This record gives sequence, structure tokens and C-alpha cells, in this order.
Amino acid sequence: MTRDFVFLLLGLGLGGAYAIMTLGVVSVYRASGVPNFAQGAVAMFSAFVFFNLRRDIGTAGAFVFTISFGALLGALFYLLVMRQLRNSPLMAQIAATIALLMLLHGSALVVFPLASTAPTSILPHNVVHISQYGIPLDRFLVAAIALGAAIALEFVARRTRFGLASRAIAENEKGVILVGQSPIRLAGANWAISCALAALAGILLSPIAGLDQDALTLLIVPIFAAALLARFTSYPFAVLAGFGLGMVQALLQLYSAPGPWYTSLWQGPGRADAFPALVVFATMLLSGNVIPQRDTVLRGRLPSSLEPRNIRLGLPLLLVAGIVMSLELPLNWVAALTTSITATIVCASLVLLTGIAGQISLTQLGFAGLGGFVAARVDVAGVPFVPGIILAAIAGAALGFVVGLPSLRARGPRLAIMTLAISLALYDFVFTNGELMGANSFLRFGGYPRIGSWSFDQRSFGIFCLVVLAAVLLLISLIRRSRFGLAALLLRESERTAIIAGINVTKQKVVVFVISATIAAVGGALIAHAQLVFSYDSYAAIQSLLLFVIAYIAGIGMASGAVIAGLAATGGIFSNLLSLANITRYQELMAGGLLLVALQLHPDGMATLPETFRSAIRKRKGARTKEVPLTV
Amino acid sequence: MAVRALIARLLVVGLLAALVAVTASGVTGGARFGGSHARSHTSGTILFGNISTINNPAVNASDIVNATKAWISYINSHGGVHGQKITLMVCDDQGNPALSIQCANNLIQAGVVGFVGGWSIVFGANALPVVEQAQAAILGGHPSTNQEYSSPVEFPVTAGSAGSYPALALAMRAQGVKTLAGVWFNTPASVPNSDAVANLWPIVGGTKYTPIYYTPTSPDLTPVAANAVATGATGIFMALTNTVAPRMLQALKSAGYSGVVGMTGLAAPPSVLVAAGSNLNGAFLSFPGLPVGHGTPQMRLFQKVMGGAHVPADAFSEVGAAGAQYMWAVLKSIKGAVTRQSVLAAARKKTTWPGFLTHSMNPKFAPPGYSSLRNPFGVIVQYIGSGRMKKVKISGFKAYTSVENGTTFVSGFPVGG
Repeated sequence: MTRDFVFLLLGLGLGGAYAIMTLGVVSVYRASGVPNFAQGAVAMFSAFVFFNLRRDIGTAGAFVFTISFGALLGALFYLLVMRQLRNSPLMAQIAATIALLMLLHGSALVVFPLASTAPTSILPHNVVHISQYGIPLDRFLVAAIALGAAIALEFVARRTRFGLASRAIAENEKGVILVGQSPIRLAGANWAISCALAALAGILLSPIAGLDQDALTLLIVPIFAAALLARFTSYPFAVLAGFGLGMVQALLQLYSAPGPWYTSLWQGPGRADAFPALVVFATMLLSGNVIPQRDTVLRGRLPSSLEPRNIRLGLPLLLVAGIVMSLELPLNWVAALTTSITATIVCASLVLLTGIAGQISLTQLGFAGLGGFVAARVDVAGVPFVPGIILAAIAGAALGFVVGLPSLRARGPRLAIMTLAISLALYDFVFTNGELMGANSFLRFGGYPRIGSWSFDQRSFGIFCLVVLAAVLLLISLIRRSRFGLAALLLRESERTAIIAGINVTKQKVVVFVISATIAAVGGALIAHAQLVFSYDSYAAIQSLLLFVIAYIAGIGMASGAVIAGLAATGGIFSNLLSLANITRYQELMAGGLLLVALQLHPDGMATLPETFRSAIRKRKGARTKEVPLTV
Repeated sequence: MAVRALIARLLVVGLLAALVAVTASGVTGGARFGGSHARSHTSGTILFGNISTINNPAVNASDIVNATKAWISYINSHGGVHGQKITLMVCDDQGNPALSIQCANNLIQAGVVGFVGGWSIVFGANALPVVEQAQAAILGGHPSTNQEYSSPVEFPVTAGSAGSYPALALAMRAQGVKTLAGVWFNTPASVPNSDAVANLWPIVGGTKYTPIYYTPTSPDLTPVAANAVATGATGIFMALTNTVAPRMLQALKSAGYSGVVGMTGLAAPPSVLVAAGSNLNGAFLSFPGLPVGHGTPQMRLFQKVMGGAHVPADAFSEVGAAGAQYMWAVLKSIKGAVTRQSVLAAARKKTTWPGFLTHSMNPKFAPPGYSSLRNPFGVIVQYIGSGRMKKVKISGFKAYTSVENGTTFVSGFPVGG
């Protein structure tokens, strides 16, 4: 009993850091209605700034500078990016925060040393003994600071004009303007506070979590789990939830060895890390309206989803070009091309789900991973190639159904958070599960697949993947043109309007999820076959975020956008160009930066450029042009 | 608004133009990359590849790569192989599976005749099938997955992960540790290594062994360390990388542990030793070969080559140097043209090797299930602070030790099966 209690106390430091970062997330959400996916990345980057400066200008100076840096970063990000997007749909705003995450993570990889270090805490960290166990003092102090920050924020929120106005924006933005307050100034100040809190958390947590590019960046799931429990509004509950998560995670570390099957949810390797993802999923299932929606009416214009125009010409061209390239290119380029083709299939699933149906999903790579896992598992069991692909598709469809159900209650940011959590849970419960993966961290195929007596080689398998891709693109195009596709577009614009139009929203959402997950799973199965191995580390959550970012830049509403995104996928054609130029390490930085630029200048994505230019030429000629529907 | 739209279009056009330019230059660059294959043979250069994880927060194998480069320069300065110089093409996979596969494909297309001594956290699980398909030999290196030990194309000359930890456990047992906790990465690949220790422990008289699994990216390792301490173990060894080691050592100190600690030398390069300060005093370290500073002719040569190339002489550079030296031996044994086929055939023939700083390599040493692990031996040293180490005396376990060149090497598997 004492042991369990001590382990709970050990989690106070981590819980305190979660709490501080959650306070920042809640602060921004209250004022601008956006869940900030970059909160952990801001903490990471600020921590690097602090610990690099501390050697030169001392702790006090570095502390003041870093907190100011965090605040300035937040304010500038709001003024330069989020302010321009304040009337844009939430999808664009979420994409912008993910872009900031990629930009900061990519920059830190380039700017700061890559070796992880354990810097000395600025707080006293002598060990306090309870029974025979030791607990560093700084854990208690971090928790106390979190508590203090929550009390201060709650006081400001309740007792000051700034706090009351910040709260009022969420309820009635126009009313706040009428009483002489500037929503922009208020939101900017809240972004500054939020990022300053992230910087504080980075300084306090780095001595515990280590100072490197990954340690804090991916803490977004526990932070969002705590924010969800606090309904994205309550500072006191944010702190309590942060403490709770950190403490339970520490306790679960005691149970890291596998136990009986009925304990598999909480006992076994990785369960402590997966716990926040489970909290998110459970919260979504149990509570349908956790985040108060700022607007029920859609703000701004979603990325274009133009009706496919040149499918009869485009698809044969794609096939011919792909086949010629597969036959003629050197094998390393064939491998890169095949990677691009299979990644395009996964991106096409994102186009259907997010671009056409408006359901933000950060778990497409999770669906793909499940497809790859099933294909590899059944291959090991001797199941032939085609039935294996079908089984992978069925598994994907089943998971799509499971994920689709909570989507009936979760929309926009909640759905994004939930799908990210599912991505992490899949990683922790399935892909790294020794009982499922066997003695290795991967599942090997015997070679390229066979159909009957026909055996594929690297080139012919690339062509096979291309044919599958053509079929998928045709399917997406047909869906886009069909009544089902129009219903999905209407659903994307407004669920209420869709209901008025007689659309069965429940069925529509679940079916879209199932089709999308099936496509992604088939893509994942082909990826695994093409690589001759299913390896769990290909499906990490950060890769899902990168996929979303690339798809958004390419044009998330268009099938042709999936093709562009596939070309830019890690290991694909563009990545191979970067590799040969020896600049692969800049890919994430470029992706994040490009997305921020694209969101500002051309939010529809690269795939719509031909239409944009055609439209511009028509206007210049003064010809009477046919109206092109941009959002439907 | 019109100005903004114009700027937007100009930017987009600029981006597209840049993309086209990069594509064009890349494709022609690719042709050059492929073209180097043909030139390499006509100009008498033997191309070798190296895939390692360098730009990654969890692992940085740059010293293995730098040591390999330095050793290849040394080989070239001594006439190369049959008059041909060796060229090393290095690809950093950044710990990214897709990039590891990309590295393998690009290097094979570039015409490498084989791979030499790297350390990648994703290679074995991702790119190994590509290399096996190409039938290219991998000489030396530090394998970290079970698959690499049974691969028909992989020829490690050091103990890698599979050999290091059982050897470390045995050394800790020799110091009187009876209850042991093993702290492992939370990956399925850790399980067979942990099982090897679990099998060994009662045989050598240990009473209790507890495996603990952790995620190296966990934000707080203190509960992991506290869990190891809570097992009541009098000895704890930890699977660490050089970048996780400082955090885990700090966590172990925070948890109030004062018993015997063990880790591999790869997790403890000089930078970690300095950062750990007194936290590491008394810890047992498993080195792939002779402890650095030991006064043998091989060690003097090693330190000279490493010093000349400004590469730290440590466990990393030992792995790189031993791998390159083995590559040299394999190449010298080839009669006729050096091709991918002839390198693989020579490596399959040359299954014994006297070692360089390391224990000799011989198929009779390969433990069951680890056919390519022909040198499961390491040297155990104890860190005594201020960057100094002393050799550890292992007594009472003759079946697990082997003395070569005056040095006692330790294996976690019975010598000769």
C-alpha cells in the first residue's frame, strides 16, 4: 500500500507539468476556440532556449528571457497566423497549430544538438524518503507551482475585466466588441499566456523528461486528455486532471510486466504511456458534448473539393506514366515510386474522410498500420496474398466502424484529439504488443507476393500497387460525383442542414469512416508487402500528423491532392530527391513552414492550382465564366 | 485583396518552379548517383555502404561511422585491397523506417558491394529484407534485433545487444549479486534478450530475476527506476542508448538506489560519463573489446588512428574499427573481382577471424538461435570515476569466460555451446 502511494506521489511532478501545459491549452481554447496541438512543441523549444541561455546569462536572466520568448511566440503566432484564420473553419485552425508543431520540432532538429541530456533542475531536488522509497523534492514543487498558476488564472478569469471578457468571447464575440473590448487583443493575450505557461512547463519538466526534440513535443495526448476532463474550460479541473493522469501513469509503471489476460488493459509494457489515450477515448464515449462548441454554424470556407474533371484522361495517363516509370527507372526509384503510390492510397482515404466528409482524422496511418499488421500476420500463417489483403480490408473496416461510432458525438477538434489518441493506443496496444508481434518488433514476409503461380518482383508489384491506386482514385471520384458524395459534402458544411435535407447523418458518418478505413488498411497492407516487412515504428503518431500536414498542403479535398501528397510522403519520390541532395532532415521543417504559408495564401491546396489559374485566365479575358462551386 | 492574390500566385508559381527545379536536379543527380556505380569499378574503387542512425534524439551512432571512415582511410593509406581503394557511402536513416529502406535501396542502386559496421535502431526491422534481397553482405556493426542474428547476410564481429546483456548479468553475478532487475526497452525485440538472461540467471546461482519494460521516450523515468528498486534487486542492469542514459542514471539516483548498476559501453561514451558525474561511479560496463587505454599494440594502433581522425576512442569507435578491420580481412581473402557476390561468398567462407581488440570470431561460439553471433564475448569493466575504468575479475564461471591475448572475455552463453 505504501509502495502504491509512493508511486502516486512520484507522478506529481509529471502531473504538475501536464497541469501547467493544460492550463495553457484551456486558456487558448476559452479565448479562441482552438485546441493548440503545438503546446508540447512550444514547451520543448522554450526548454532548449532556457538551458542553452542559462550557461551564458544565468538562471534568472534565462528564465525571464524564456518566459518572455514563450509569450512573444504565442502572441506572434496568433497575430501572424491564427488571427488571419479566425474566420476559417476549425480544420484550418487545427492544421495551423499542427504546422506550428512541425515547424518547431523540425527547427529544433536542425538548430539544437540532437543528444538527449538531463539538465539540472532550477528547483531544489534533494530526495525525500517515505518508507524505503525516495521522491525528489522538485516533484512536489512542480505540483505546487501548477496549483499556484491555476489559482492565479482562476482569479484573473473571475475577478478581472480581462478574464471576464476572455470568457465572454466564447459565449458572444459580438457582445464583447460592443462593450469596447477587442477580441483580437484578448485572444492574442491568451495565446501569449498559454505559450508562456508552456515555456514554464518546459523549464520545469525538462530535468525530469530530458531535454531533446521528442520528449515534450508528443505530450499533446495527455495534455488534451486532461483538458477534456476539464471540459476545456475549468482551470481547477485542468490541474486536478493533470495531477491525476501523471500520478496514475506513475502507478501503472509498477505493472509493466504482462499479467493475466483480464488485466491486459492496465497491466503490461506500454500501458502507462497508453493510459492518457484510453482516457480520451473513454471520455469521448461517455460524454457527447464535452467541448462547448463556439459556433454551430460553419465559419469560413473549407478547402475546395472540386468535382473531378479529367478522370477519363487523367487515370489512363497516370497508369501509363506509372507503368513506364516502374519498368524503366532504376530500382531505388521504383522503390520510392512504390512508396509514393501506396502512400497516395492512404492519403486518398484522408481525402474522402476529411476533405469530402469533413471528419478530421489523425489516425489514417493507424488504419494503414492495422492493415499492414493483419496482412503480415496472416501471411506468416500461410494465408495467400489476395485473401490476406481482403482480411486486412475487413480489419480496417471493422476499426473504421469502431472509430466512426464516437464520431457521431465528437466533431471538429474533439474528433481530431480522439483520432490522435486512437493512433497512440493502436501503437501501444497492438503494434508494440509482443504477444501479437511475436519475438521480434516486426513481421517479415517471405518475399514479394504470389497470385497463383505468378510471382511478383519489385517492378511488377509496383505496377500492381499502381492499378490498385487507380481503382481507389476512381472510387473516390465516383463517390465525389454521387449523391452519397454530395451528402458527405453537405455533412461537412453543416450537420444540421444535412439533417434537414433528409440525410441520415449517423449512417453517412459511419459509412464514410468504414470506406476510408478500408482504403487506408489496403494501402497499409500494400506498404507492408512492398517493404517485405511490417514494422511498428512506421506507424508512430508523429507520422500521422506529418501525413495530415502533407495532405492539407497538397489539397485535402481533391483526389489529385492525394497524388501530390503521396509524392511528398516520407520515403517517396520527393523524399528521395531530398535524400540524394542530403537535406532529408529539413523535410519536417519544410512541411510545417509550407503549411503555414499555404494556409494563408492558398488554403485549397496545390491540387486546385490548375483550376485557380484557369479561373484567373477566364476572368482576365473578361469572358462570361461558368460559376465553379468552390466548397461543394 | 488583389495584391494579396497576386503575391499568392507568384509564391505558388515560385514554389512550383522550385519543385520542378529540385525534381530535375534530383533526377539528374540520381543519374549521377547511379552513374557512380559504373565509374567506381572502372576507376578501381570498391564501394561500401553504411546505414546508421545519426540525426535522432534517441541514438547517435556518428562515432561508429567516423571510426569506420577513419579506419578505411587507414586501409587506403596502406594500399587498399589488391591495389583498389575503398570508398564508404554513409546514409543516415534518422531512426525513420521509411528512410532506412530508402537508404538501402539507394546504396544498393549506387553499386555498393556490401555494408560495413553501422548501428541503426530501425535497420533490422525495416531495411534488412531489402539488403537480403540484394544478397549484399553486412560486415561488422552492432546488431540490435533478433532478426539480424539469424540473417544469412549479416556477419557481426562484436556481441551486439544479444551478447552484451547476458555477459553483463554474468559479471554482476560474479560480483555477488543474487537478485537482479533488468530494465529493457518496451519493444518485442527485447523479449528474447531478456529471456536469455532469465535462462542464465538460475544456472549461475542467481535467485531472482525481474524484467522491467519501459518506453525510452516516457516523460518521467523516475517511476521506472523506482520500480526496479522496488523489486528489492541488489543489481540492476539497464538497456540504454547514449542519449537515454543520462536521464535513467539521474532517475536511479532520484529513486535512492545505491546497489550495483550495469549498462553497455555503447550507452556510456565519454560525454555520458562526464554528464553522469558521480552517479556512475562503481557501475559495470560491457565493452565490445579491450577497454580503451589498455597497452597492447592493437590498442595503440587503434588510438593512433582514432586520434588522427579526432574520433573519441570508446565503445562506439571500437565497433566501427573492428567492423572495418574484418571487412579488410574479408576483402583480402577474395581472389579475383570484388563484387557483391564475391564479398558475400568470402564472408560466408571467412567465418573465423582472430578479432581486433575483440574476442575472436568462430561459429562454435554462436549460441543457439543466434547463428550469426560468432563472438558473443565482451569485456566487463568498472567505472571508477573521473573517466577512469578498471578491468573486472570474473572468477568461478570458467564455462562462460575465455582468455585471449591476456584479456578475460565474458559471454552470457556457455563457451562452445
